Amino acid sequence: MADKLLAVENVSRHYKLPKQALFRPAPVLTAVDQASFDLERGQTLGIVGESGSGKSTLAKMVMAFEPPDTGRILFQGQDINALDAGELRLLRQDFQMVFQDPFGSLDPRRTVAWSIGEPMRAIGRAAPAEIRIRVAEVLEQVGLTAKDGLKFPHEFSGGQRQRIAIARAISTRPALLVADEAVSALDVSVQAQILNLLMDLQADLGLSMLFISHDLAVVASICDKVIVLQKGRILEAGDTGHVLGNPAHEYTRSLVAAARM
Amino acid sequence: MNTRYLPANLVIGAILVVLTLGVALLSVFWTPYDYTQLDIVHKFQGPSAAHWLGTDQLGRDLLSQLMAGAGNSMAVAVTAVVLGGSIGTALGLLASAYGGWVEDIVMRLSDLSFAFPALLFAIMLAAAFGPSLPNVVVAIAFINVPIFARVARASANQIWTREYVFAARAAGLGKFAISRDHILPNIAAPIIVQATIEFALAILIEAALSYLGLGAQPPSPSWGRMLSEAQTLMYLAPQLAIYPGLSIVVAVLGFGLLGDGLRDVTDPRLSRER
Ligand SMILES: Nc1ncnc2c1ncn2[C@@H]1O[C@H](COP(=O)(O)OP(=O)(O)O)[C@@H](O)[C@H]1O
Ligand SMILES: [Mg+2]
Repeated sequence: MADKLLAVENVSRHYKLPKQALFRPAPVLTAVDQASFDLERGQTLGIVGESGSGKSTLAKMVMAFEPPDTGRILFQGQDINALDAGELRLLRQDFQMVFQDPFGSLDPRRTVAWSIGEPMRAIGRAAPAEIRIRVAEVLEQVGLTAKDGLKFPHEFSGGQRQRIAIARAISTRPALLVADEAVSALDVSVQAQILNLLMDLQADLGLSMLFISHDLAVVASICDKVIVLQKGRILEAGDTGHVLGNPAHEYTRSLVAAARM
Repeated sequence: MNTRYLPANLVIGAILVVLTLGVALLSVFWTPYDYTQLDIVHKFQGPSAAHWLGTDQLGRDLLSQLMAGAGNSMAVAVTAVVLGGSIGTALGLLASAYGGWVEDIVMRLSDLSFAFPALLFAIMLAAAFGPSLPNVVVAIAFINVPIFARVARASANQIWTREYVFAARAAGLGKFAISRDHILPNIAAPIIVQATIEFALAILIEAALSYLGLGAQPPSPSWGRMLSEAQTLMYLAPQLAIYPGLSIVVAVLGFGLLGDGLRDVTDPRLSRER
């Protein structure tokens, strides 16, 4: 049996919408509907789907920002929603996230080094000097310099800020990196650089990745396996080449067409 | 935001505030005369080289009284707004961070207090616990708690949806640490704006309570008390009412304008509508 890092089992998530009529119950939106999948160590799994298909909701649940309404999420065999707050906080160093908005994922009032050091400070095991060394190390790993740590986020371009976000995410040596539309806000040429960086880091660090994008072209370039999501349901799943080569559903074909591949 | 052209309300407000605070601060170290010093022979004097603004019905130097009154007024307003503002902000942060019943309790309490006119509440408190400046401070602070709780909660709710807050959660930070490290620094601007506006109101309430005899007690100087003492002498010596009245207007207007101006430059959403 392959080494399962992440197992998502029958996970659903419902959102109550604002009440529309006084005497009718508030309508419920099913953002994720009975989704199940596994992620093996060292693998990159892509999740693709149009906007609103539930990709970010899935990411939020994998990151334990929100609990699922049904089902379980097992990380390294542990149900992340069954852990107590302290255990979960400790486990968090092993699964980190890169967000979509390179202008939103760094606190504008904090220096880059401060933000990168935050996960290590949260764990509370490393001395300030160790953290400083590690911050410089990851900055260099993502193609920046230790000196860049003294600057504030607004002094960087979108691509550089995404590098900073990646540096921060790998600072605790996680096993899993969740990237939700991590390159979608970037210019195409910058996208390629960030994708290359992610692939290099994955090879060097043995990271597993859950790579989420509405853009099939991006997913195809980086993922071993892919899941196609529509209205919260997994429509098809399998090896990237296979799914994209012979899409079983019209929806997948339209995504392939939209990506102009 | 265009910082090259500061709005007029900000500039005028800042000038008036600096003037008021400067005078208040100066009064701590120096006034031309002891404001309690009686000099019946020289009562009701007009402006002169010895007494720049003249003297009152007991021959006390008016300028000295006004300056000392400024000191009192600012001390009350600062203490009350900082006290009420800190407690209110903390409650608002708590409500925003923990939600659920914590939020319900904080918000219902603040609803309750909003149903109550502020001045009326201050009068009741002063009536219950006796007239004194410390009680005025407590009353004004109390009024400010729900106001800041609301502003802090509303602003904090917005910050909680920012990606850097999710990033902090992913880092393993708890709600308290996130509130301290990310939420509070990023809601400082609206809190400071609110504080400036509440400061103007605090000056007004202190003056009103002292005017009603519920605040500063003789011989403690206060603009409100000067006004009430001048009331019976309105026809004989209107300047005795005009000076403290003007002082109140300048201080309240100054902080009010400064608060508006700060809001304009820190909240692009509102200033764009202008
Ligand atoms: N907090 C929320 N409250 C209500 N509805 C939400 C919330 N978050 C997401 N949704 C809804 O859930 C659906 C899936 O959203 P999302 O997971 O963000 O999709 P994607 O990331 O694929 O674009 C959308 O219809 C969205 O409007
Ligand atoms: Mg999304």
